[in-house]
Amino acid sequence: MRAIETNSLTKRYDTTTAVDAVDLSISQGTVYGFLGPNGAGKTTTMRMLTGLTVPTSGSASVAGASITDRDRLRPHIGYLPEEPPLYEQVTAYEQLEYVAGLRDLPHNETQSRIDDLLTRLDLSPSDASTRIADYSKGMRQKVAYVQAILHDPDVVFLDEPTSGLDPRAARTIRELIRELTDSGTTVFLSTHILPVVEEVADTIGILYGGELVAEDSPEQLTKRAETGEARTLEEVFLEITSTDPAEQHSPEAVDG
Amino acid sequence: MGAGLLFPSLAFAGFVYIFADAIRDAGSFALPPFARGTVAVIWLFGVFVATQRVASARPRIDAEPLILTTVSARTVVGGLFVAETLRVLAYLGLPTLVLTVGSAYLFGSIASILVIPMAAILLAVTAVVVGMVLGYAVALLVATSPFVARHKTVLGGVAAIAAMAVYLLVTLPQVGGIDQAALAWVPIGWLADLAVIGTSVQGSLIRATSIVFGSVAIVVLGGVLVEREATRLWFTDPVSGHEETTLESTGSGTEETTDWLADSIRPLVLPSKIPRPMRRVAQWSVLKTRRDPRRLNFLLLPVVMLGSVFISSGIQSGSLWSLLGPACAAVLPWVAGATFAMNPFGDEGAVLPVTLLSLPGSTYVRGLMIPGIVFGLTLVTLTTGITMFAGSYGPVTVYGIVGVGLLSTLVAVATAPAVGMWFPRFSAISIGQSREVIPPRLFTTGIHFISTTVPAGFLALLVINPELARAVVAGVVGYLPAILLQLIASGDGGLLISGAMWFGDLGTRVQGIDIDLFRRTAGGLLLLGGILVAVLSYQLAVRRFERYSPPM
Repeated sequence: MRAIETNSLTKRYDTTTAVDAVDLSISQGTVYGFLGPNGAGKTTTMRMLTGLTVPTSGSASVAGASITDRDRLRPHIGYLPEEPPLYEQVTAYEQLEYVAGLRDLPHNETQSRIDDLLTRLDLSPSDASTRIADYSKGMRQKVAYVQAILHDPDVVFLDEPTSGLDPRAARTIRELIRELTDSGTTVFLSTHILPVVEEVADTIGILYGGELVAEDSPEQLTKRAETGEARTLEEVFLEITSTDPAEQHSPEAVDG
Repeated sequence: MGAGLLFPSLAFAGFVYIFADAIRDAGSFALPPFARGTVAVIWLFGVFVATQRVASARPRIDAEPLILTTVSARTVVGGLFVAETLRVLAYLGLPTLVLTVGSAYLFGSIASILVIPMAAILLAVTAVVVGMVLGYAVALLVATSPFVARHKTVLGGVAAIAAMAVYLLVTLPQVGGIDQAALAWVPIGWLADLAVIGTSVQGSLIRATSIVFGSVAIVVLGGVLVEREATRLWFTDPVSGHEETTLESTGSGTEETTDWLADSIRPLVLPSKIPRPMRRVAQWSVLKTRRDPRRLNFLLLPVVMLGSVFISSGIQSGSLWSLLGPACAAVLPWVAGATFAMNPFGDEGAVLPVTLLSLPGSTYVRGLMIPGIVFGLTLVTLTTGITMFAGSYGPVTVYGIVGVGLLSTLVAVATAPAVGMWFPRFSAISIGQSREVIPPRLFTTGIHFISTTVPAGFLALLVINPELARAVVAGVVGYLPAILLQLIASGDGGLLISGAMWFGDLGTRVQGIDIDLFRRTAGGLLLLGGILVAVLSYQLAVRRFERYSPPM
């Protein structure tokens, strides 16, 4: 069973096609780096895969559950949206206990897991007892990350998980992502920080104008198909998503 | 507030038109102290609103870093002052126009065209500038004093209640023994002397002149003060008003753990028998309300409006307690339903996607209903029971009205999530209030208020006075349409008159129904209708949650 499988997944808003017939097939226990310029349709794709947005056409399943069946999908997924989904007037402990309670996680084990994860992300019990309104951007991001993985989901969707984090915290997140995949969790990672993707992703997909224009392993993607000359992921990304037709590489050539 | 100004303005216009000759014939008379006092009351109300808006809703400015590094604080203060003044003038516009045209029509006074708008503008600018001075002073206190910052909600609530009490004392002389005339000494009331120049009402020219210069002085001095306060506020790092939660355990072991959410809502307690996901939704809802009680401001308007009407008519008729019990049974259920679940999606805010992905709709909706049921039923039973006994009703009537309250609470609690979820509000900016607080839509509040209080009020009437209830139904479904149709037909006959006669007959037939039969039938229909609406609302809310796609 594939962790994520989509078949011509499409989303249209009136006359605009946000996501155009995207086909994905992502193996269990891997990291899928999802790249694309602003407005390419990455967030819309993630929202469809998490069941938050209904596709216009096409189908998809996540951990074997259809994305249109929220009841079946819910236990299998975790989602960290770009804006940390936190309520400002509560503490991190209250926020995390709330989300754990919604999923009916065992109370004692959850508290211990919360403490472990927060400690790994350098958030002290004192920090966690302070209202989120007083947090820095990075602290919010850490709490939101813990919230997304608290229930040990089969597939976790991370939208810019290292945004606003200092280098140490960003490194910890990358390590945690690797630990997740080691334990069999599939990570669908969307970020603009290309070195992060290059480091942790097993496969990279590039979305441009709603279409999946390239998909391969980081090594293959950065190796020019014709000459075998190595380039950085940034160069590949800029070439594929260039608005200048002369600069633009044909997706077929890049797609390994 | 708009409606509150529209209807008196229209009523005044009608009054002037109908009694124009009588007023002209009355000749010249001295400006009564009551008029000056009324102007003073309006001004004080304006100051209160402006203070409240500045202190609690908008002490800081949009895009603050950009604005404060682009223009001077004086420019910002000036802009805010102009915006607030225009806002007040938008409300004062219609009454001012009606007064001006009415005065010019009644007294043929050209001067009124100048002095009445001038008085209105001076009233607005002075109220705004004084309100801003007080508002920024309060905001500065909140920003610099940890004690005030920590207890700002309680202190604000006490101040609002005190202001409301003063307002009631002045507007309901039966309660406080003082009326508007007692405030005639407040100099701002001299604007009335300015407004009557050129009419047959004799004011004081000295007072009129004094208040013009006085107002200018208030605006200039107030402007300087506001600029200083605002500058200090905007360039001060505010103290934190949040207390750290006490940790009773480290949570590192499994033998001793803390239930943070349960601790945070104490002394309120929800039964531990409630399944955990549902209990968490309920605790979350209570906690959010507790941490940010300003989100309940929307409850105040209908409660204060109805409350003042009930208290006023109760005092005038000498039967305050007789009215209070049934009023509690009709209105408190709405409060119980609306307090925790009137805008569930908007209240979730950024957390909404996580909530949608974490639990089934049925669990969420039940969780939302729990605080209303647990705390609402208790509140309604106690308050209604006590006020009914105080109203000297017999035990059967007391039980009947308490039963009405309980049924209405269940209906209100079940319908609130459905109404709130179908018409969520996510933005606070559009209503011009605080940027942090997202109240429900006025539409949802109105729909829920009417659909719960009207049937509850009618049920209460059925219990207390079934004859009056029958007369109300006969009037609404029969006599009133008959009268309207007759007015429209203007005696021309034909279909409209036939319709009017049919409605008239219907009213008579309703009035002829045996009172016991009417009571049983109407009561039974409302009971069944209430249960049906509650069940359907619950299902609707669950379906809405399951299919909801939050905005990006």
